[in-house]
Amino acid sequence: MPDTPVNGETPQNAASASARPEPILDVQNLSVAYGGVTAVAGVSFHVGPGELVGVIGPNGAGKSSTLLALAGAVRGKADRLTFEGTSLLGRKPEQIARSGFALVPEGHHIFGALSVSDNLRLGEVARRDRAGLATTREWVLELFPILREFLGRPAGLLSGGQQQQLAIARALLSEPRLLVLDEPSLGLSPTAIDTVFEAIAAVQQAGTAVLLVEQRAQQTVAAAARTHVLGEGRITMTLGPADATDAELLAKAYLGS
Amino acid sequence: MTSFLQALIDATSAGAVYALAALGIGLVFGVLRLANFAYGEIITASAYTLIIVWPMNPVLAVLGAAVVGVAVALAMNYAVFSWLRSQSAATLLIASFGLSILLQRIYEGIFGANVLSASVASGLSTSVNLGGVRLNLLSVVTIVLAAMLLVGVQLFLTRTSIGLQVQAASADFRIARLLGVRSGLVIAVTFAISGFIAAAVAFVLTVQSGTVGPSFGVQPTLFGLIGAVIGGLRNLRGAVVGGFVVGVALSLLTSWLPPEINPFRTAFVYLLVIAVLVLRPNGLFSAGAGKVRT
Amino acid sequence: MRRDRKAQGLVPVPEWVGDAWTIAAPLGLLYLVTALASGVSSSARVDLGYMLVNLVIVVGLSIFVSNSGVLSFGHLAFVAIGAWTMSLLTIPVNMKDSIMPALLPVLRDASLPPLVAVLVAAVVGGVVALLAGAALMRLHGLEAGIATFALLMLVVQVLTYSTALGPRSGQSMVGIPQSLDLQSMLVIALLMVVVAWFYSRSRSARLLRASRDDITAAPASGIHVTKHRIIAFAISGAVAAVGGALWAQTNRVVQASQFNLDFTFTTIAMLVIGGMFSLWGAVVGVIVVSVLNHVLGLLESGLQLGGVIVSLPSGSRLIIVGLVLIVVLILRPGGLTGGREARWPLRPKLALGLSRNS
Ligand SMILES: Nc1ncnc2c1ncn2[C@@H]1O[C@H](COP(=O)(O)OP(=O)(O)OP(=O)(O)O)[C@@H](O)[C@H]1O
Ligand SMILES: [Mg+2]
Repeated sequence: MPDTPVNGETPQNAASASARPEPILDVQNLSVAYGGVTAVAGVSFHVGPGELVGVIGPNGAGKSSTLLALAGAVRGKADRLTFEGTSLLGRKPEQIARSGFALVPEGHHIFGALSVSDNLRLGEVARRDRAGLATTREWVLELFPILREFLGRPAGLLSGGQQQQLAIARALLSEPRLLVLDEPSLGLSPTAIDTVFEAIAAVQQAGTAVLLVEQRAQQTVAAAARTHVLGEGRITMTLGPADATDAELLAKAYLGS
Repeated sequence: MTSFLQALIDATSAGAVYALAALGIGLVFGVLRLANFAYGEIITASAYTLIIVWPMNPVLAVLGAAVVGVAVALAMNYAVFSWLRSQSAATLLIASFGLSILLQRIYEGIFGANVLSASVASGLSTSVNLGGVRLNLLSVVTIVLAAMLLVGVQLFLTRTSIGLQVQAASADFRIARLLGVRSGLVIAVTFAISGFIAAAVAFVLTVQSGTVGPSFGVQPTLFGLIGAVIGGLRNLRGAVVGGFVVGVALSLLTSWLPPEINPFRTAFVYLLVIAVLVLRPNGLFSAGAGKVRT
Repeated sequence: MRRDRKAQGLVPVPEWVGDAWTIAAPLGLLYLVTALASGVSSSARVDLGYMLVNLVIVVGLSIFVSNSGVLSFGHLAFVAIGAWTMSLLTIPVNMKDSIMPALLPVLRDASLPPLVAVLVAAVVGGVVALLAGAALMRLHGLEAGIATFALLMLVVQVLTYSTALGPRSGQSMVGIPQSLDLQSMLVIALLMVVVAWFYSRSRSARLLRASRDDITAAPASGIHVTKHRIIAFAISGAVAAVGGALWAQTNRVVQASQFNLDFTFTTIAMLVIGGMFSLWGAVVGVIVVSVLNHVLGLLESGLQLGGVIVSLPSGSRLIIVGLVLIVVLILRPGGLTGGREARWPLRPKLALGLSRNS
């Protein structure tokens, strides 16, 4: 199967496009293997400052593996893997988290035994300093008003959608310059999904770059500056917002052309 | 009636000692999945410090015991366990077993196989009269000390940022690290606290016995570990209560079993342990904790 | 090992050769070490006796641990039971009367030839393990470790204090005749290795090993795993009891307090250093640690090496074995053998049949 891009930017285009501002995240030829099994086989993309970039693709395509490699949670190989100009390769997850990179991993991994407010406090661990903390807290609670009502409750008692909101809120409290989300809509009701997407839009509006992995193809393609389609560990296509209405193309993206 | 009350206080104090040991073991288990069998050798190190230094300077002895407890715990972490982080809980347990035996022999090489004695805080070995009830002062002090440490650890875990990070790491280390929780720091802090608690256990036990030998810490660690497991190691509160229950059971069996079968009191405790494990394989208090964990 | 690559061009070796090698290698190695060591010195022969005893004990332990993946800290319970059975069945009646006046009449009068006594020890150990296993085998992980340890302590406590079963607490059983020479001990040890090997090839053991890798999921895997674990536990208890019987007639002084943490540690260290998950690992571990122990023992009593007398402080044996254990766990968590069965040295790929079960 040839993996030439079917539509949108080619990798070459992407590289020349990044001649504008320095990308905040630059990934070149990233691969991840578990034992002998290759999950990601040479993926290249970038995220510009304040940009929203999407990644879609079928189950097992290697989306989560890509994100975990960026966050330092699994070991990856790459020609270049930089966040704000410094390499992420070989760094510990906690170092990466403390450098302004926040990953909300797949599944809402909140701390169920801790209260909602303690979960939020844990989000503040990765902050550089405490200046502006009160403002961030206020902003985050405005973004997810439901959390304010449940601050004292054990987070494990929240509903799935509320837990997902808590996970995003927690990540935002570190005031990241890049927010990375892995399938935030997983298992949520349509209204909850809308809340999450609205929040993502608001975060981007506030100037934070976002890398969004999703199964909701249409919604993602519409919102993102570029959406890369991942299949069997490679980028098979890159779509622009205009492609969001092209149902046939989206379907093709999933079937791997 | 008064002897009943006395027995009850003594049992509570015995329970308090094992509850502390279980707390020290449970804290480390939480973050590392390490059931540290060599915890006893931290206790022993502090006890040697107390017994040797007390006759010269009691204040120095207490401070020294605390420092030695923390230092030995940290040394264990850096010398052995930090190399084994990615290994299974079984591997960690075996390594700690090896470390325990090794340290016991090292103590034997340094201090000899025989026990050293000194009377530590002999003032505590007296009885006080409280409203007509004669109470062993040491029992009362033990209970107060244990209560203070339990509250202290609870406050640390819930009120401080690093304590919260310890809790997060215990619940899910991977996610905690993604949030910026420094693994090395959290583990070191946990070891340090467990070492401090070991020093407290050593203090109580040396006041009680006035002697220390190479395998001094084995017994409290065994019962603390057993208590922690039957209480549910995955849940710190359960572990502490489990340790307490084992101590109380041991003490009550000692004072109440008729003399003919009194020698079998430890056997009864082990039988009880097996029964609890068989009937409640996930720990005595597992049901309540499971609900809020995801 | 490096020659393997060159050997690739040879005519393929049939699979049964690789299979047979997994039993031939441990048997051969054991025979070789025994033959060599028995000619070295009289102190080597003494240590050799203990090595064969430990081999039987550790092979017993490995029957359970390597197939179930569950740790046991309690197998010395069966060793103690085996030692007790052997002692009670072989100590002359008049001696029993003087050291164990309160002994149950049946036990007082019982007397059997040594080999039969070993067999009875196996049966008693197996039955106790079966009963204990029926109660404990639903447990896994740390709980199983603690429960088996509690079993050991329970047995030790009962044997310590029960005058109906043995001497008063603190006293030893003495007068056990040394009726098996090195030759017969070797035969018994080889036999136990064969038992372990045949068991590991049984359907029951294969099913058990299939469940081994996901111990954490054990509750879901249900009754079948429990059943096969109980079988493994019973067989392993019987073999460990044989080890106990041999130990009694090698040590010739038996006391409950001997079945302590140090002894437990030695057997577990042997198993883990060799590799917890294979019979080959158990055999290699026992031999390596025993040889190390022997050399350290010589050093402890002062060894003349080219004009200088090297001597280690007593007690350094366990320190060094402990260190070796920790270093092995750090550098090679699967043990020296990597947890594999012995591999046919010429065509490694074909010799994998037995060991890679998952
Ligand atoms: N820890 C692991 N060990 C071994 N293989 C893994 C591991 N994690 C993922 N894989 C494999 O790597 C491949 C990619 O998995 P990944 O989770 O990255 O896919 P994904 O695109 O996120 O899928 P999904 O949409 O289902 O979340 C899959 O084949 C998966 O089975
Ligand atoms: Mg995924």
